[in-house]
Amino acid sequence: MQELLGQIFVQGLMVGGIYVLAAAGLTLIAGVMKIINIAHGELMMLAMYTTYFLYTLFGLDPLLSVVVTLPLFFAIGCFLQRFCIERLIKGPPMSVIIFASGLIFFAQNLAATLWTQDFKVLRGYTTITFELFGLRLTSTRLAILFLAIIVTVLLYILLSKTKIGRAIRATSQNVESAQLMGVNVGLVRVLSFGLGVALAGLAGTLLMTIYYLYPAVGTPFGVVALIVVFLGGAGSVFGALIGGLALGIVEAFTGFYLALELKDIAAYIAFIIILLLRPWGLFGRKE
Amino acid sequence: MTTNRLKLLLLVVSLMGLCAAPLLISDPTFIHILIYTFFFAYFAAAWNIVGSYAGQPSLGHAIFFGIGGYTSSILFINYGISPWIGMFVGAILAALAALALGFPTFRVRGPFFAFITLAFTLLISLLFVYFHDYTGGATGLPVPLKGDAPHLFQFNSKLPYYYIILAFFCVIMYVTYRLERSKFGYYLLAIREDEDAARSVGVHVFKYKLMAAALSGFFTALLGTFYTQYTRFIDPHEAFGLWRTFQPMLISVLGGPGLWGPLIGAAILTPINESILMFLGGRYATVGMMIYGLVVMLIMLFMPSGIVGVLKRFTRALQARSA
Repeated sequence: MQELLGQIFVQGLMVGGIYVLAAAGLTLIAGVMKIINIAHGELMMLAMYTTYFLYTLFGLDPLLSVVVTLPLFFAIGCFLQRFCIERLIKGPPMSVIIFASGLIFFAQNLAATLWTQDFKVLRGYTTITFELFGLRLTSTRLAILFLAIIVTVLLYILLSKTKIGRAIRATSQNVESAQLMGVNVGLVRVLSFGLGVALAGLAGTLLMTIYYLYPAVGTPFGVVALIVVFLGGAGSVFGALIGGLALGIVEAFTGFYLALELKDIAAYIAFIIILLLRPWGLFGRKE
Repeated sequence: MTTNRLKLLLLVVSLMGLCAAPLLISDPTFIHILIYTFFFAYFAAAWNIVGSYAGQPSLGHAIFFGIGGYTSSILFINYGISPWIGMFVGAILAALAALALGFPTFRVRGPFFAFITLAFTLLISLLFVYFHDYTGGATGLPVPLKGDAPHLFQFNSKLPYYYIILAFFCVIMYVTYRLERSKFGYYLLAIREDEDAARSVGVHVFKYKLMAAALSGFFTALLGTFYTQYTRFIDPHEAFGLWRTFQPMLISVLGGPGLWGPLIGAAILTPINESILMFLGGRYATVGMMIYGLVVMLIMLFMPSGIVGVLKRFTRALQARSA
């Protein structure tokens, strides 16, 4: 029984790793720009398709395709920020949300049109299974967990120790003051959005190794990432790490004890309870 | 005074025209497109109470739509209760659901609100699939065919459905018209423009948001029943799918804010959508929706005040020239 519980725990940690990556990108954008990119999950979905086709057409290992998806999605993010979001944040307050809704709709139907609604998996992709302390682990899932932790640490270092990180934090605290101190706010926004979308791309690529793919796959992951951001507080990378792993574990145990169909519901219900008790977030501060 | 009379006359004449239209052109495809135009216009107008007037971009209205469709169908199939009664049971349930959902979700603002309501839609969809003993699960519920039975909200021809949805639409337009001129409506506008300022002058923000949600949910659920009776089928995809979730927001945004926005948005989108479906068939249905998504993105980028806004600017330019 203890081994089984350990197995579920590890399982939860690995799924949580994906949530951490997705939420890290979202929280960065939320912190700097005070907007929520509700199309985050759809960008993950597009990264999954990229990974899928790189593997099936060119035989590129899914974990290696990170070298393509990371720069590609960084560029997509920079483009979106420079040519769309920058315009929208000057418009009516709901413009960004409605634009992102359009993007969700566009991306999902684009995927459905080009690649049909069929479920896709990486056929013939094998992972190495090994035992450690009596727990069965697969190499890809372990890689996901390690990458999640490494990326969070790197992101934390980037934000707290580097000059560009300081500029990003300054912008998220007060745009005008940052501008007065000579921070190129426009550039900071482009870089943060690009970085956020690149993280969504990374999360999507890694998700492809353990999950199946269809046009609407991104939405639930995007929603879970938002829940994690809400729990951890907008802009908090550390909060995203803890929140993501915790949510992964909660889900794994609900899936085991209640019903597999209900595992997604657990995250929502936990979220609603927290929303009722602490509307400013679990780690967030009261306004 | 004379302009008001002129407006009223115009309204009555166009309403008579709308009543006569399907009699003059009795092509079923034409009537079908008319039905869907008013269907979408009604949906967007019901959404507008929360989405536009109170300024809360809800992605949870599919829930109310689904509650309406499912309630009337479940009552009809299991207990033989006429959908005419079930429709109002569903609407009351939806209003209660709107209060229950509004309670946690209205605590957060703007973008978080949109995302959280989307999360609720996904949650409710999962629950409807899970409790398949009552809801038919993923396969959905077919409404049993009873032939031409007006007392059961079933008709052999499309014509009665057209008059019903036209009546529905007139009701929601009247409600919106009254809302725009009521104290309640002004409170909602105040909340939309600046929530903190509204609160500081004594507007009970949370209460009025909840009231708007209940009203909006009530009318959205009526449409759910209409849809289920017209297509005689409901499943989680039809009720809570992405299309249904974004539909009212899309039409409202395309049309623009105000009383007439929903109708303008629907009058443009529906014929395009239905002809794509008809001529390209189901396989290319996604192409049409892809174009919608793109259109919404472009509208937000280049004409954020919708078609109404463009028309206004156009007429203002004309007036300026003639003056």
